Amino acid sequence: MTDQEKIIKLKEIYQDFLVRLNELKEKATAQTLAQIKVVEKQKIEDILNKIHKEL
Amino acid sequence: MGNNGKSQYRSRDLRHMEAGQASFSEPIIDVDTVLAKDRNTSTVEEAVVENVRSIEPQQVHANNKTTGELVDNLLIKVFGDSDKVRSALKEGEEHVFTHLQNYGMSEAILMLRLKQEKEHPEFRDELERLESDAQEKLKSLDQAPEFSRDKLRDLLIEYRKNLASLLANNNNNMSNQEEQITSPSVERVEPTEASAEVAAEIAEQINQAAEEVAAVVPEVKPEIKKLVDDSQNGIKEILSASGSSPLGYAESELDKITKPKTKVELNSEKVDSGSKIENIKHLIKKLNDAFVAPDTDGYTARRKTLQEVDDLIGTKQYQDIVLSHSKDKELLMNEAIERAVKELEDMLRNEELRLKTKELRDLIKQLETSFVAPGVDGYHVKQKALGEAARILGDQAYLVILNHDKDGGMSVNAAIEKAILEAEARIRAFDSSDNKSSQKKEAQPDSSAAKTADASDPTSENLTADSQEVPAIPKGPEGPTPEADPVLAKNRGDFWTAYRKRGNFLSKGRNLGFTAQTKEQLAEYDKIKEGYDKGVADKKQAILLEFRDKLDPSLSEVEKKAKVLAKHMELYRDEEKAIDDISTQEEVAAFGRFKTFWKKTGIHRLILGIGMFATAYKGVDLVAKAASIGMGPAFIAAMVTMSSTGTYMAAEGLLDTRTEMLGQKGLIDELKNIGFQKKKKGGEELITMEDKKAAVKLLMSDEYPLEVLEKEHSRLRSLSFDKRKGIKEAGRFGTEQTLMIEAVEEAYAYKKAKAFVESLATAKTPEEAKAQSLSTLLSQEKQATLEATSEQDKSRTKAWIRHSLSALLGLGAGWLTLNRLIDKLNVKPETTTPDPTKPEVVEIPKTVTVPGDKLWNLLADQAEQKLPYWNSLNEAQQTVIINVLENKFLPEASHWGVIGDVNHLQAGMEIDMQGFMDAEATKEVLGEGIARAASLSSEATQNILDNNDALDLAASRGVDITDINVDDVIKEYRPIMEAHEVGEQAVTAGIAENTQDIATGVESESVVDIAGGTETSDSAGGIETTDAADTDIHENVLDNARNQAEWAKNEYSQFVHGTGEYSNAVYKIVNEVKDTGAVNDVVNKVFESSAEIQQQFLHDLSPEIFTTENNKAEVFLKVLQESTKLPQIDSLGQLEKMIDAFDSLADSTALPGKEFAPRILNVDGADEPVYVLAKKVGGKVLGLFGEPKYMIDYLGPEPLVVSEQVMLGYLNPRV
Repeated sequence: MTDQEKIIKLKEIYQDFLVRLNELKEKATAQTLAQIKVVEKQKIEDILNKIHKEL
Repeated sequence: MGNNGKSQYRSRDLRHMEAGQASFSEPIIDVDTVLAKDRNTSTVEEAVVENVRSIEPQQVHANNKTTGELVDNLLIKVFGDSDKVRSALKEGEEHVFTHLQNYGMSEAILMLRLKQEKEHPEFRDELERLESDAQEKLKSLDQAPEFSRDKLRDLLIEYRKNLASLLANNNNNMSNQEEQITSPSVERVEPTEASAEVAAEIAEQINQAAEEVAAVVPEVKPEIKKLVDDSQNGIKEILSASGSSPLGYAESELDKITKPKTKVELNSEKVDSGSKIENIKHLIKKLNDAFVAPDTDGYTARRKTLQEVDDLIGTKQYQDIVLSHSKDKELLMNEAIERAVKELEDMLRNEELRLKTKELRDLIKQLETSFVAPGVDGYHVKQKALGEAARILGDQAYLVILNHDKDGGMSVNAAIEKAILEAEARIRAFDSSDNKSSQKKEAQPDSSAAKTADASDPTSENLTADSQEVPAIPKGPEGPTPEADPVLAKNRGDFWTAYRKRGNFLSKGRNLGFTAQTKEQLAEYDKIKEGYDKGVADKKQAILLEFRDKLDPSLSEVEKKAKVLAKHMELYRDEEKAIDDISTQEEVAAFGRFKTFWKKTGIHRLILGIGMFATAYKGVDLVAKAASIGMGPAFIAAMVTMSSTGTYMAAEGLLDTRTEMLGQKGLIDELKNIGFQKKKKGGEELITMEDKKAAVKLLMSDEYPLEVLEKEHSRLRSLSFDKRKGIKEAGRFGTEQTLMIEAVEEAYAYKKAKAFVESLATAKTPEEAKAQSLSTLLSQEKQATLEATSEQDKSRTKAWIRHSLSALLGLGAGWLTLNRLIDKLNVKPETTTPDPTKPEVVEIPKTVTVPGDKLWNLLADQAEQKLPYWNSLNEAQQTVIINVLENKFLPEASHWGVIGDVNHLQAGMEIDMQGFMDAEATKEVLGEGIARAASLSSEATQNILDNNDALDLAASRGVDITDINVDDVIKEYRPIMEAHEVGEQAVTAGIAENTQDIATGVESESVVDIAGGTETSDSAGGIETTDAADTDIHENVLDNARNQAEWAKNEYSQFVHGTGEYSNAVYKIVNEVKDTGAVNDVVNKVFESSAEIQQQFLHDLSPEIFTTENNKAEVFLKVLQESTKLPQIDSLGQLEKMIDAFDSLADSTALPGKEFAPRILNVDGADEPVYVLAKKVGGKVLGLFGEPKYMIDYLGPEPLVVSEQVMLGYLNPRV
């Protein structure tokens, strides 16, 4: 393998790394968002319940 | 000993200065141009480089010569070995030395190129071009004023990059051109440099990106880590795809030049050098192997190895163990092996430490010799020494030596000096760690000599700065030393021993408390002090004048002055050392040893201390609690008893190091506050050499006059006696502050010596000089001992307070809270480093008076704020403390902002209470007050309490109490009050009867309570009553218990007989006595009394069931009230039956009927279920659709009406 080839390969690895890292990030963010939504929904429901009870 | 090489090299330094600045800057250019004429090259540098080219790099390094030596040899080789060359070199040594590093770099650049050239002769021209570019850049870098090592490194990296990319590109071209005839050799030498650079960059970027993302989405960290690992592995695979870097050799050579050796390398080198270490290691390994070896063979192997261990250590313990207990040989053998391994490991550690210390000492010697090495060889030697310094100390900075003093860089000599100081600091660190582990101190002639040398010269900057008036401190001709004088030695011993005695507040020569010594004692002390002062002054005078007379007459006045100054400093140091010897003498009494032990171990042992307290001194518990009642003998007994326990010691030690008010803080702490909380990170020193230098510089300035330094020095001296340590370890934090103390000592000695020299200079005739010198010295000595005495007094006052407080805390507040208390005692945060040049001005809010404020109350508030344990003091103790504060405040009232009559404070006045409390004098008075409060006798306590009662009575009758009439008021009202009390007692005495059994029971219970809950009254006999004081304590405990029992008994009988009110004590007494009859009497009486008493009784009966939150008592009583059918409650059994019935009703979750019924409701927002009365109300009237409603009476202002659904929700929230 020549040095240039190595450099090309290295750059490929880097590109690949970045792509996969980004995927991970997006996946994790989506999960977090979903969780936040669940929690928020629960909170809203709780508040509604409370109001309902008090009425 | 004394002034050695260091002074000499300093004088050399200064001689340069005197000889004129020209020698530094001018001659070099001449040498260059003149000598270079015979050559083809135009400069020395080029000539050298030219010559280096002819040498194989391997050869150069095989000789193991340093770059400097190489260059020097080359210079001689280039110009010929003639006197002319040598003298030129000598003159230019500074310059050449300065440039050594650059030559080294130049050489490296050349070597890299040569290496490449060999592999690729076809690129010769390009390689040469690259090299000469780099050399050019190096030259311009050298001439730039802001030269730095980093730039050199950058330059080298760039050059390597260029080389690599040149070869990479050309190889590509070549391989493209010659595809068909791919030669294996080309493949083999293919450079990987460019890809390696890219790889490193990518690896770095990968890490960075990963970190960034991980910070944002931490939940996927493991995946990110895996991704990073995969990628990095991929990079590694690609890089290792072909052969090794052709630059490998050059790189490793370069690394040798530019990288410091790692610790591991250094350690292994050292270990290799000592065959003993090898032996030990070998044996440890053998023992470990033998330990796991199979039985039969193992046994022989083990035994043999153990014998070897014995041989090495020089004992017979291990083989004997095996032989004498052959039955159990397996177990014993293993034990022996374990012990042997442990012993060997200790040996190994010590041996390594010894080698390291030796290496450092050798380095110091080498550096010191090099400093004075003259001529052309001089800079070799210096450079070699610095090379060693860089290796041993692991600091590359010693290699990069540039004569850029003005730009903040290091000169050669400064570097050597720094290296010496650093080496000394390391030895010190080893010593202290060694001391900690073994408590044995080896004799260290080398390091102490070096230390003395160090101490002789404050810092290079200072001497250079002072050089006009004090040009040099060379080692002068040996004069007689004070050590030689036995009379002085005796005087000294007498004085400092007396001083020590004086400082020991428990010594028999003192009164307890901190009143001064008796007149006779004072006179005796003064006499001894005088003898010592005079002795030292006489001796110093004789030595100094003789020294001065013997000085070379050809010396200038300035030089003579400097020499005398140095001698004075030397004498000072000798004297200090002799005093240190006295202060470190082992104290015979166990108290001192224990104290030192606890001071050393401090907080870590607090827990152990408590353990000791509990187990070894069971009786003390009782003593302690008893003494909290406030008895003098008890206090002292406890104090003395406890002074032999770890707990007391821990408290005392902690107060010493950790509190602002009572601890030992001084100038050294101000200069560099290392604080108690600041943890030492990985062996990093809290105070560095740089700090010391800065401190000396600051202390040498006029900002710190001699008196200030004297005070601090005396304070440290006093502490050194307190702690049985040398003055250098006398700081709050021991050896960690040594450097700062050295700074103070150096500046102090210097200023003192300077004052002496100056006073001497005013003398015109020898007679005058004699008189003048003696008077100066005598006053100096007198001042020093006087100051030391006064500082000791202060320190002793503090110590006394600390001791009292430690005892008091133990008695009153309890040990477990001690830590928190101590933290509270620290008023200021300790982690900040105050800048002594800019004192922080903090605005302290003043106390603004409001109508009705009394000075007494204001002072009480202040005392409460200042003393975290305030609330655990009894009233009498508080009174004493406020009283001393008031006495202090009254005469100074106007000073603190009081306008008008201090007894009738005007509203709206701004009084600086904080300022008053923070004043030194107030602190002392407060300390006295605390000590006095701590040692109040029971009579005094009672007296104070009676006075207070009398004053209360007077105040309630509208008497205006002022500081003037207070005594009269007490006199007038004490009899009235007492008559009042006697009358009351007569009444109660008449009522008290027939409850002897109860009283006895209560008495013993009370003792239990007071003794801390673990001991019965019988165990009081278990106290070691070796002392009359202990008996007193016992008596007091019982007295108090009896009093309490008496009181409780009265309360009970008064209530039962209808003459007294119900109180908590009444229930308590019946509960504790467990007398059914008595209990029933009380219950019967309660349920004849008002609803309020019934309610209170129920709360007392079971506070966790009848809470104030849940309304149970109220609802229960209401049910009793409302019902006419229920029987009268006249016994506890009856009451319990009722409560059970009530509970079964209330527990029902069914909807109540038309009658009120008790229910437990769970209401949103309430912490616990609430008891209510509830009933159904005519639903159809209120409800539109006939839905039933429920009325809830929760005993609030108005009953609630709720729907059935809500009621169900309350009754059973889960439905």
